[in-house]
Amino acid sequence: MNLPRKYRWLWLLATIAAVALVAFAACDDDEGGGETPGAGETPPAGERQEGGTLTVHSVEFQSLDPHYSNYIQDITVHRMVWRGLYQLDRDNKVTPMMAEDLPDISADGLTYTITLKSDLKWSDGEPLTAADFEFGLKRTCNPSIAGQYEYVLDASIVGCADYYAALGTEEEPKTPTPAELQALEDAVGVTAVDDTTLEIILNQAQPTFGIIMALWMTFPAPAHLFQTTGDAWPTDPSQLAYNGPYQITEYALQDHVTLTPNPNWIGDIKPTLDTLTIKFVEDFAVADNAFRSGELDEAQVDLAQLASIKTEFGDEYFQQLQPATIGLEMSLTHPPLDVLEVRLALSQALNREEINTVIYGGANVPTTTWLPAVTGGPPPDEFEDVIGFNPEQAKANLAAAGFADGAGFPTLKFTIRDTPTNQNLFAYIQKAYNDILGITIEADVVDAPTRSRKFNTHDFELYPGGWVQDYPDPENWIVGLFNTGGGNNGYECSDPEIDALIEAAQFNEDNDERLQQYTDANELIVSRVCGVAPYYHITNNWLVSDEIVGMKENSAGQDGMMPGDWMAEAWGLKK
Amino acid sequence: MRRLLWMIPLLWAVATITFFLMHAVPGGPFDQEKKLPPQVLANLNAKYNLDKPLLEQYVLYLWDLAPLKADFPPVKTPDLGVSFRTNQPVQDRIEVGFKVTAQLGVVAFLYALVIGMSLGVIAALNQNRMGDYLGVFFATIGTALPSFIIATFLVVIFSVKLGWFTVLGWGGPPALPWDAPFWDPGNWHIRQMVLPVISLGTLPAAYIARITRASLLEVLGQDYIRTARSKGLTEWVVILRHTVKNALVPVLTVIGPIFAFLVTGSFIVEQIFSIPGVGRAFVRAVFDRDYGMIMGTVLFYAVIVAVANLVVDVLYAAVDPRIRYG
Repeated sequence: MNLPRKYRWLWLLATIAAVALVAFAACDDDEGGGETPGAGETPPAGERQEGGTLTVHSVEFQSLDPHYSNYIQDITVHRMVWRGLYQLDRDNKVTPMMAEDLPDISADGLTYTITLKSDLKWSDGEPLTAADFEFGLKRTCNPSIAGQYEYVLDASIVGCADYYAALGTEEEPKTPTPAELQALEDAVGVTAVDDTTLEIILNQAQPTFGIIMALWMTFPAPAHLFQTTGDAWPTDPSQLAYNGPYQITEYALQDHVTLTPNPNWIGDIKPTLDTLTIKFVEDFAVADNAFRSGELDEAQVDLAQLASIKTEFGDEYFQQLQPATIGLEMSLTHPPLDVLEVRLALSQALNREEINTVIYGGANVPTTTWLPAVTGGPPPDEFEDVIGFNPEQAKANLAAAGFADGAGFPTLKFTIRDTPTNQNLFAYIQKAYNDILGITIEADVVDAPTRSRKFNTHDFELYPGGWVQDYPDPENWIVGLFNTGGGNNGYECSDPEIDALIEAAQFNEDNDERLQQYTDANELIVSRVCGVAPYYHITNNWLVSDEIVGMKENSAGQDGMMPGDWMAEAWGLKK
Repeated sequence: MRRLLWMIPLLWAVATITFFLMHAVPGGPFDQEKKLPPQVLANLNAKYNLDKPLLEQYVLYLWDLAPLKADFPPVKTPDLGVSFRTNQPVQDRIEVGFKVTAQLGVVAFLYALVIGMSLGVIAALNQNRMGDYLGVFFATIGTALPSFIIATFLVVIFSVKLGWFTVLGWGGPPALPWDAPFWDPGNWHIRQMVLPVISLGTLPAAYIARITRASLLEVLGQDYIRTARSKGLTEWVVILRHTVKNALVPVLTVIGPIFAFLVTGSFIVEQIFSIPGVGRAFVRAVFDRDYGMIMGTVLFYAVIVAVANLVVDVLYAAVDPRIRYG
């Protein structure tokens, strides 16, 4: 038996552990973030001290490739380290960024000629030329990159859709030769005429193309680091080059990414921070605790604690209305949801004010319009008389559909993600429908991917969901979402009048008329509950240290994970 | 050797079951709130081989995984593929995550061992007195309270209110850069380590304390202890040389499973403290339907558990010569 020897080892291990713990305690350093104190009113973005460190909250990005990704946490970082030809300002107006001026547009509206600013450089010192923009746009159109926002360019740029569809689909796969693929890439209507001139040719004159050229999927690629447009975007940030206000200098998987100012940034506002660290924290309640303990200077609010956080933090709590609408989505191909009166009844039985107060702690803005005011839509109460809370009208509509007091009405499924808030929402709506309409709904509780799969395959009846704006134009709220067969039309809205309005508006060069057509389409969508009964616009809720300037001041509809992150170069520590 | 070879069919079975279960669950890696247009989805599926029939995907996966191929030289490193979300090699993500998880697990293990055995010994030597009650109280609390409750209390009291410890991250040497040596005390930050270690290690510490106490009490009643005392040995010699040594046999038997639990079961603590470990990566992969990461982490966990069990079996044989493995 050699037991005694083993035990000696155990005791030795235990002793080493105890000694080690004490030793580490003795050599610990204090890592608390030490901002310079400030006082008084929050100054405008210009009044920043030189230097300092900010640590802000996000969740980990999935991909650093702006031509591939479509997650908000990804795009938040992309916009900090890369920029396009144009940028949207705080009022969503297109302004030149890497371009010298607004594009020269040919008389037929099909050819855009863009001149770049002179002496542009990547963060590694290599020249940034029109060829890098051509390379970036062609990457987005390249089928092997599988860019998830390619569809924004699909109808716009000549040849992009053909190139992107080169590999076919699962049902009809295609196997093009390398030469055929190259020919398709060459046919994409983007050409670097010389180092500072880029020419883009469109399929049709498109009023929103200026906005699209400010979006991440049109950002340039450092072509000198790639062989072909199909090459994978490096996952190691040190192998990349940047043209935005910051560059990535450190990336610790699942933990944080650290940005420092890009020495070759040409924007008017220069970063003043020494370092900007983005910590990855999935659980917002944890992030809020880290804000309390001073480990984070900014954090997203855990909505379950919203009321107490408002009281606890006072001015450090900050809210921003987002261009996003959530509603009760209804599958129009599942009877009796194909009957307008049924959909109206389901909408009119929803007390939006009460839902917002009881379920969301007042975090959102109740609404009856799909298109939000911030993107040219009407005020939230515009359609109150049509689809707003009205129990009597709801009952009458249900009776008109042949289900007086709910008699004979089938049980409908309410597909939700498994969160306490969603469970509460279901319980509330279930009771409201039972009390007001005499009908029953049952919860179909699933996780996020399952729920999305159900929506995308039309395997649902009632589904709380909505839309978050990609770019600030009504087109982004309507095209693809409510036209027959549209890619995001999971509720299968199919209405000839709405289709006609969308078709007329999409490439209408008369901007006023175009916007009016979208306004009219929005009214039809809402009044006919063509797939969705809107009930609130989302707000973002943050904690922002009062030592920071440039965040709250620049907060707008373009915000991603942090307030004002679309121009993070203006962030700094208070003087 | 035979037991090592047994791991191959075991891992194959784990890979097969995980692969088909994973695909049987509704929703895929690219099912998201905002529906992707059909052509985008088609290109994404093609990029990650999801457009191929399921059986073909399975064979392709095993082919990449198999360490032996008909290539020359015939041995290759198993390829766990890439994450379907981040496009990073699964191997890299697991390697980086495991360096953190292993640090957390080892420190928590040492904490559990020291605290658990100390409390167990104190409790047994002070049976039915204050020391015993304190030990039993700790053991009961530690067993009854799940780690996320302990963690929440600790964070609120010691981080938010008192500011002694941090809320986020792990204070061990970073997995990257690679030149951060673990033996350099400057790479260890106790403020970031205490709360996760206590949250993770308290349950096993309580378990060890209970076992140590029970075992020690049993040994204290043995005839040879009475003999030792009657020989005139001092109480300390009796306890250290004759009692504790023999009372530790049952503790040894649970150490293997506890170590495996600490290294593979830290995902809740990693989530609560935002620790960049492999457990957190696994949870996120499941929610994201990141097929590459799910397969990689499950297989990795299977290897860890299999190896831990193997080590325990070997230890048993070493401790008790009557046990022999063919």
